[in-house]
Amino acid sequence: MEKLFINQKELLDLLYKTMAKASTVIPSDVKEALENCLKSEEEGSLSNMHLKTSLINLKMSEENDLFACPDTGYPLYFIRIGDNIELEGGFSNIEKLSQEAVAMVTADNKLRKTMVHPLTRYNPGTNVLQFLPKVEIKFDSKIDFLEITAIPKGGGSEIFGTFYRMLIPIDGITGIKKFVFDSAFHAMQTGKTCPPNIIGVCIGGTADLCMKLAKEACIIRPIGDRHPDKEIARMEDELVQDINSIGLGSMGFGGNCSVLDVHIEYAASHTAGLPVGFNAQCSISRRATARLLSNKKVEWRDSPDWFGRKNSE
Amino acid sequence: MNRIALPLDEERVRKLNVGDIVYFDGKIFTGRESFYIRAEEQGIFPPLDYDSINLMMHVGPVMEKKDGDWSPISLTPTTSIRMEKYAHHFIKKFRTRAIIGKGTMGDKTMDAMVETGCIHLCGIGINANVLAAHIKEVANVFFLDEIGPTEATWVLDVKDFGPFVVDMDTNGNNLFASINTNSQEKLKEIYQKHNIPVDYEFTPI
Repeated sequence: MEKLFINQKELLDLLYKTMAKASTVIPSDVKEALENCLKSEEEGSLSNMHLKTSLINLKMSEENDLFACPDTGYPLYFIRIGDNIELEGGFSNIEKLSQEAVAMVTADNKLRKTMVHPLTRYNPGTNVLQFLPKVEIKFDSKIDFLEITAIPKGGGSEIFGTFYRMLIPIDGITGIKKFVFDSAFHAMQTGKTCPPNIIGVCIGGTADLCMKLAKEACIIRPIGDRHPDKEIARMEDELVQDINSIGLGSMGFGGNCSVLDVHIEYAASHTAGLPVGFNAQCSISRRATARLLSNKKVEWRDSPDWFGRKNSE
Repeated sequence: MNRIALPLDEERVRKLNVGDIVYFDGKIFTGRESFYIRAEEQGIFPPLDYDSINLMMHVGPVMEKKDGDWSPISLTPTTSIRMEKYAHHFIKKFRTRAIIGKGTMGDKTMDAMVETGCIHLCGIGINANVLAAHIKEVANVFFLDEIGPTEATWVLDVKDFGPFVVDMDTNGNNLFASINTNSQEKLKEIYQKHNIPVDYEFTPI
C-alpha cells in the first residue's frame, strides 16, 4: 500500500469543509426519503404541508448556502484511517484539529452557538468545550484513504429520542419489541424528535457500546442500508412498517410516514443481560463525507462506509 | 388561513381554535430555558412592554452582526414542553397572548391559557430560512452578553410570519390529543401482532 502523508493544514481544511457542508446540504438519500414520505401523506394534511414546506426550505439551504436547520446541535466527527496514512505531527493532533475546525465553522456562522457548560450553562460561542466536538476514529487495514464524516446532530432527536434499558434474557425478543415500540411512541409524539425520524437500535454490548452503536445506526448508515445479518435486516424492515403504522406522522401531526428508516446493530451480550439502546435522528438528518485519497485528491461521497461493510471499493 | 396583526387582544385570541393556520405581522419576542430560569429563580425579566409585545416565540435563532446591525440568518421553533414547569407563571403574570414553539405543552400551561386567554402554536415545516426572510427588523436584544445569542431575548418585527398552526386554544383543546389517542390504539394493535400482552411487564430487577 502506498504511503500517504497528510499535512495538518490539509486535514483541518477537510474537517472544516465537511462540517460546513453537512450543516447546509442534506444527503441525497435523506432528501429522496423525505420526498417519498411526502407522497404517502394526504394532500392538505398537516403532515403533507410540513414535508412540503421543509423540502422547499432545504432547497433554499442548498442553493443559498443556508442552514438546513438552525439547531446544528452536537458536532460529531467519524474518521476512518487506513494503515498507510501518516499525519504531520502524529494522530494525537486530530482532536485539536477537530476543535479548531468546529470553532472556525461556528465563527463563520455555519454552526449555531449551541454547546454550553452543563452546570454553569456558560456558552463559549465556539461549540468547543469539554470532550466536544466528539471524534470517533477507526483504523482500518483494508483501506488506503482517510474518510471524514461530519454530523451535526440536532438537539430534539438526541434529547427526546434517547432510551436505554437493561433487559434480561427472559424478557427476550418480546421485551425488545415492547421497548422499541414504546420508545418510538414517546420520542415521536407531538413531534419532539422532529419526525419522520431515522431510528437506530442496538441490542447487546456494554451500556456505552450499546448506545454508541444505536446512535451510529441512525446517524451514519444511509437510508435503505440493510444489516448483513439476514434476520436483523428482516427486523429492520418489519420495524419500519410497524412504527409507521402507529400513525404519528410528520411532527406528530398524524399520518402514514413516521420513520424514514430503522437501522439495527447488535453486539455480544453478557449471558445474563439483554441491553437495548434506542436513538432517533431528526428528519433533517445531516451528514457529509469526504475521502482524502492516496493521490491527495478529495472525493466527496454520498454516504460513508463507517462499518466497513463495503470494503471492496 | 388567518393573517393577524400584533399585538393580540384577548377577544381575538379566544376566537382562534385548534387547527387554525396563522401568519403574524408585528412585534414578537424570543426566549427559551435561560429566559424562564432567570425570570423564575432570579426575578430577571427583559424590560419589555408586555402589553404591546405579547407574542413569545420559543426559539434559539442564529443571528449575524453586520456593520453594527443584527440580522437574522435562521430560526425555527424549539420544543415548548421543556418550558412547562415555568411558562404558566409567566403567562399569568404578563398576560402573554400567544406562544409559538415546537410541539405542544402540558396541563399547567393549558390551565393558564384557558384562564387568561392565550394560545400555543407550532410551526409547520422546518421552515427556518423562510421565517428568517420574514423578519423585517431586529428591533432589540436583551441579555446578549450574559447568556449569548442563542438564549438571549430578541425583539423581532415580523411580516407574513408563518405558517403556524394553533395546537392549544382557550377552550382547553389540544390538537395532538386525538392524534395521540388514535396512535395509542394503533400501538395496541402492533402489540397484538407481536404477541406483546397489553399488561406486559419487564422482569423486575
